[in-house]
Amino acid sequence: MNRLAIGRRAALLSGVAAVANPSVLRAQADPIKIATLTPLTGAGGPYGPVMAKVAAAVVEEVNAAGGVLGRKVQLVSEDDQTNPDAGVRAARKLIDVDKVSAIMGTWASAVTTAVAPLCWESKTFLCTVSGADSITLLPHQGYLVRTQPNTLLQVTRAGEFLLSLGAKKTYTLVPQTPFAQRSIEILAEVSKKAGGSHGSQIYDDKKTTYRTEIDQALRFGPDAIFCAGYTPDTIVLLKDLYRAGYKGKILGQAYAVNQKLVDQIGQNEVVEGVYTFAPSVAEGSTALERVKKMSGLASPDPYTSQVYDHTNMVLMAMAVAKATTGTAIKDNIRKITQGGGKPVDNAVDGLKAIAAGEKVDYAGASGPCDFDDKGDILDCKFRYEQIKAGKATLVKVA
Amino acid sequence: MTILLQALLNGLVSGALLAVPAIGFTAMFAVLRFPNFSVSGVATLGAFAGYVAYAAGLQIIGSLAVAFAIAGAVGLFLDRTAHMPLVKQGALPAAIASIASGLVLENVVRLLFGNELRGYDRPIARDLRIGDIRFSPQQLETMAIALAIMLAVFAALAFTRIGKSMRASADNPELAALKGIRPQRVAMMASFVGMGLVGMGGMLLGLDSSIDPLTGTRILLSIFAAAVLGGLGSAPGAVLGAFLIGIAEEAAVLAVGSAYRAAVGFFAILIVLSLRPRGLLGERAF
Amino acid sequence: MSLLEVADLRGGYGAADEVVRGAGLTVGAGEIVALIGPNGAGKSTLLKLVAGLLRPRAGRVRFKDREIAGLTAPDISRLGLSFVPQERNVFGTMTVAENLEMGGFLDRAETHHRMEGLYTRFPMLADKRRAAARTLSGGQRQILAMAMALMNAPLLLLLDEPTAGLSPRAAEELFGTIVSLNQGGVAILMVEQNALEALAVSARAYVLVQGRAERQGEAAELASDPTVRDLFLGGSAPPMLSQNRGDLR
Repeated sequence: MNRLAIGRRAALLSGVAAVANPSVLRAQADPIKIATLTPLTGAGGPYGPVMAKVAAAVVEEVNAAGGVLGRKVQLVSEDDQTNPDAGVRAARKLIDVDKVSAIMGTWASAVTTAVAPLCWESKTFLCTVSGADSITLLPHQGYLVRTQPNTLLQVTRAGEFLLSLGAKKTYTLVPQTPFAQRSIEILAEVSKKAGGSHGSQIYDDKKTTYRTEIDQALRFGPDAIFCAGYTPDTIVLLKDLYRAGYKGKILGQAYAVNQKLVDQIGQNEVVEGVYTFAPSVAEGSTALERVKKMSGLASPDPYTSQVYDHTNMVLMAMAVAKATTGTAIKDNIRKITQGGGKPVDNAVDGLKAIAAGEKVDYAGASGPCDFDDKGDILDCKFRYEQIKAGKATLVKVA
Repeated sequence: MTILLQALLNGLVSGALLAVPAIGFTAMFAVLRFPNFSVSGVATLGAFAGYVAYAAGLQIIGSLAVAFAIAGAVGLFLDRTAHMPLVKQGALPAAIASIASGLVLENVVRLLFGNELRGYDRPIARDLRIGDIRFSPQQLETMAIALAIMLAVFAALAFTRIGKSMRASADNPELAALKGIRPQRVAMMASFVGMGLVGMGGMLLGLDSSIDPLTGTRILLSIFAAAVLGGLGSAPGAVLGAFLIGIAEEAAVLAVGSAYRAAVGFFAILIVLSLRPRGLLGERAF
Repeated sequence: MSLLEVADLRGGYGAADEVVRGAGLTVGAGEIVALIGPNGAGKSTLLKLVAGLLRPRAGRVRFKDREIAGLTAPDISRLGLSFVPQERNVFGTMTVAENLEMGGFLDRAETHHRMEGLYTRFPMLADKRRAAARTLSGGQRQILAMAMALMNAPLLLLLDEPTAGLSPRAAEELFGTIVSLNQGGVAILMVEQNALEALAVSARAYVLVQGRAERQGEAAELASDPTVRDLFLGGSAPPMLSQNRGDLR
């Protein structure tokens, strides 16, 4: 019985594949309940439906292969409307009524921040794709992991990339934001380790010209400048860097140095050679190929890839624990994601190996999915590009 | 030393651009007696009007004229319909209403043009250098336009009948009415010209960077600070204030870092209000 | 027939406030009329009601046989009625020449010509033409204020305490100026605290008490009336009233 119910909260309920093998169903106890809480409406609306669809596809595969610990898995999908209030109401329903052991896929940082306390208090496991550094700093007692890289990981990679370009003297220009100070510290650390030097300036992103800021930056004599702002201020920075005659390397966030910025500046030589970077899905991985099939998308977004990973990890952690509670997931998730063992890219293979007494090491569609104690991922792939003749061209995915 | 000179030059350039909307703001205050914060939305509107005109093939001067006319007309409409009916209750209700209408304008622009950034399609050139001091020919051009606008405004205030009657009305509205100057007409003229100047200011500030619906909001504090520093209601004061704020903002980058630039405006307002509430030049309309 | 006729005039500053309560008076063409009375009697308010700075609540104001109650100040000025307020009666931030030009705002074609005439008549203004009006002395400022009113070639001047704050000597000079203006054909309605001096130069006078014209009559008659003297003029004998008047004339 595949049931799709979109009510006021657009609840998406799929007790997937229960009919696929009725004999198995009769042999089993109550199903194991897990949930997605993704935005089907609001700013995250473009992502949430595909996320829920891929999670359901994973559950369907697992059920078709016999379920987890001999039990069927039932996926409950709720809509957080990209809104903390709606997210909390939906989470309450999932926790109190459906009694799910894991909630997966919360997208907006504000929603995740609001839902997380409900989860750790009820010992429900939470997997999120939100990026704000503050989320893993919540007192979640281990009941939370996220697959989106945080500031530390992103900026460390930026710094390493600049070093790989041979830049010894690096300079960071970053607007006044919650990640500004942290970004500077991280980059300074990275270049110090490599024997380089680092200068920095936090600027006001509301200015219409940065001539004085750039004069000051250029006095440092940098080989490379990391522009860590958003599109509007980065446009002004790049124009003023060009005017000032700067000829060194420039690196920016791909979400800021995008095609819109190139079009806006409208003069290719101003942006020629500027590097960009962004977290990437695990390009070329078998897991990503599976996500492509399940989602029907040629290039799945990182969030869809991440929720695929959430679902696989949660189900395998239950199998290792031989228990299905949130606490069981919390205590065992790192046993299947890291520390060596048979490499697997999906729960069906993983569950078989676990049943055979093997140790597994899951690597997913969003990356290797190795977590630190706070629940942040240790590593993921980044995509580096360089603007040539007004077009972003791939440098590498690493 | 070089960097100080360079900061001074940069400050003079941004001060000249800031002075245009600051004159408009202060002139409206002088006549209408309330701080019209809808300048944020009107500056944005002017920037977009000028952008459309420029994209349609007009030169900079022609585009500025379009920015002036559209910003002036819309500013006048807002004053007539939303702000002036409230001035009778005091300056504060009108000022609050003007914050609201600024937001409305900002969002109308957002509705029409979207959130994305747009840039005037001007060539970006490498700077010229004299010794260690560098300057961009375009910025000098923009600055020259701003100075020309200021000269024109002062000439109009000094020599034309309309300009003089505006000054008379700002100085003493009751006496001006006794002399046959219709307060309504002067108020409308002040709204139109003041907002027109604000619109041109928005375009001038956008010329070298880029514009989006928040363009005006970004410069609101600097405009207000410049006008308060020079003495609310005083056009020469607004020019002086704009140059001082422009230079102070650049100097602040060197002294305390760019992130604290916004503090310059607030600090200037704080100092003026506590030490010399009438501003540097007092309330001299001219 | 009178140039200005005010009857049953009522009005004040706010809705509830009625300072002038049914006042009436007339000013003939070319006449000097004084309006005297105790503080708070409503003398200045009456002038403002007539000039259109305040809107009358009730009553009639006829000027040149036209009903002007309720017209705006610019419209009333246009008809040839100039009001010189007691305070803030010049544009302090503007030069003397600009002040005169604003005085003649309604009569643009005549501006230059009349300015030259006033410079001849008041050489002080010619000397100070480029000075900001706020730099003038009190007496000079009153001269400028009146000269501004004359730029409009009015038939009637309303003067609100023209000598307030002036030294006795400057006040005396100013009364002289007022008289000479009147001799040029301008009718004058003047509110004065310097009641005796005002009566000395006026033909007729009204005594305003609590917003109403309580007494009226020939100026000389009122000046010597003991009740008026007791009530409003301080009770002492007039200082050589007739003599004074003779000097000024």
